[in-house]
Amino acid sequence: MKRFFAFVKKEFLHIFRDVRTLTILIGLPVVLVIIFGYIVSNEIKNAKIAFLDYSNDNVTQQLKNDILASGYFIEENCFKLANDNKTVADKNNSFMSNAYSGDIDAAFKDGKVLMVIVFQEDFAEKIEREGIANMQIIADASDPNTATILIGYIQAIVEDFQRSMFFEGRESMEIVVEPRMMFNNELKGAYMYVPGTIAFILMLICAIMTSVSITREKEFGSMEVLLVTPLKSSQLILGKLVPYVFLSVICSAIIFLLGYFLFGVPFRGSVFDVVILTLCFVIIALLLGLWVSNFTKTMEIAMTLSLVVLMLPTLLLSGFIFPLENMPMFLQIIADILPAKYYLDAIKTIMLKGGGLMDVIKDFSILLVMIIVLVFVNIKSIKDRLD
Amino acid sequence: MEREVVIEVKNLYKKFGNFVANDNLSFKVYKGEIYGFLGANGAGKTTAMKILCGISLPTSGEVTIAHLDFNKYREKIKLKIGYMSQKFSLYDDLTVKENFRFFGGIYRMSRAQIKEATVRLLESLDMMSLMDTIVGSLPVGWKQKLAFTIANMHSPEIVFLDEPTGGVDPLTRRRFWELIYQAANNGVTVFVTTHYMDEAEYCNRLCIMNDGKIIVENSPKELKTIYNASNMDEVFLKIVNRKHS
Repeated sequence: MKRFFAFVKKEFLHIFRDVRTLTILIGLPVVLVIIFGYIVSNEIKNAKIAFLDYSNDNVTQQLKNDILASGYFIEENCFKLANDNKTVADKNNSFMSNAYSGDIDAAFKDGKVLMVIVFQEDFAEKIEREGIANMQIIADASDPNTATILIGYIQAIVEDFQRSMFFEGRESMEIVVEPRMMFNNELKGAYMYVPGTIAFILMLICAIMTSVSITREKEFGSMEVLLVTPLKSSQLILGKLVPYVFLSVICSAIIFLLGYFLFGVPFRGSVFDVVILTLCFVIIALLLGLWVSNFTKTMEIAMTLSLVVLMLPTLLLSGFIFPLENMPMFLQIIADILPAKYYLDAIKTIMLKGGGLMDVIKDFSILLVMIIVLVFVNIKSIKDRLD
Repeated sequence: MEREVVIEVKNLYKKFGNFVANDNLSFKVYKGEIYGFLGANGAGKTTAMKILCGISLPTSGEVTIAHLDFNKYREKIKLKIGYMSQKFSLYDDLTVKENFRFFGGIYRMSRAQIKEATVRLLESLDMMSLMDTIVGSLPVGWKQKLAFTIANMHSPEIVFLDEPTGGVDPLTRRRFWELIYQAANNGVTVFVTTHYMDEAEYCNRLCIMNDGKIIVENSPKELKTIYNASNMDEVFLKIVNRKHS
């Protein structure tokens, strides 16, 4: 044990002596969470919207007010609705008369608006008499993410509006149930980015730092010296991992706390479950780093390999920046073998939905299986090297 | 008087695929001796040393180190040997004291023992003022002296030096060898590989290697007489050239 402690102490000295790297390791999660939380947020504010209102009655007026009052939209006047055009739309009772579709196209093409809402002729009257009225939402889907989010906002607003009308004592109305963005109604960016950033940072600390620190001993020739000493290789490897587990815990805590206090990310599940899952992910990342260090001889190669094979996929294919559902099949398959996807999924369920370990048992067991596989892979590749 | 044998190697082979790095090596090293392995790059001297240090496994052959069978007591042997290589001497980002503490800790020395040894050894090197200096800022020659001292800190029976004085001038090399003599006088056996001829002269006995084989083994003085040469440089060239012609 004394040997082991002497070694761990040396590792900590290496880390603390390298102030620049340490600053990056501690500073990066803070900067990332803040950037992701504030700037690259998924929350869309002041999206330009235009209304094509064939009815222009008190109900549509109220709906429009509600939409604009939400803060997500600002109105752009693209359509001049002359009264005599009303008849054109009236004829076939469709809300998209030929006369206007051209205008809508133009509005989108000019980039003036991201969304157009069309209200049917005699909107209020139809609700009053038939209980059904139609409005159409046309979104600019050249950016499908934004379009989906904006549609979600509108649906939520309309639903609220319906409910308020219902409570005002009107006749029962056709209530069209629409999908909602559950657990994160406003799609607050920070919610996704907190677990996403943790996965990314843990990959950085555990995988890259570990592989670099082991290959450093090889590159500087100190590995030979260590192998001549009575230090066991298991002590050597564990001694390399311990300081990075410690750093990972600190960084994860910083990210969780920043998310909780700065961005009000809910923490509905138990802290214990999150800790267990995070440790699983830490172990996986460490094992990956160890595995990389097994077949690299220089720090540069170890660094590059970890960046390309571990970091980039974690960033791009874990579903925290780009939704996995929109990706081509082969990228989805790659995403399926990445631990980050399951970790993110489980953390989201626990943090945002208040689930327990049993609710994420699938993700959890996949992570455990990954640990077992990686332990075997590492043992095998270490053995191969010794022979 | 029968001298005590501390390293005994019999019919040692090391093969990498078809390449034979060590071809039937057999030799003995006695206690307190400075034994040198001399050879060109690729002659197989580092490979042989790595096997003796337990970093690499021989393909076949018997090795006994400090009276212990190599195959059975590898862990015990590790406590009795020290190692220093040219490639790495000490951790550059740690202070002198921290390096002592680390290597002392690895050999299970107590805190007090480490402290005592650090002070005693630094005083003998006249480097007490460097205790808290970062090793990376020291000149190469000083680092090598420190590295040798640290390799001896746990009082090993044998110290292996793999081209220990690479990249330093002959004067610094000479100073370094004063330390080696000191250790040998205290009964430590020193096993050194080198391709510097002046270093070869300093050894008690030399083993000249070429293409993985031991060509000749004798004291530098005897070698010079046998090959009718004025210095080791000539001896080495005569041996290697005869081999190739």
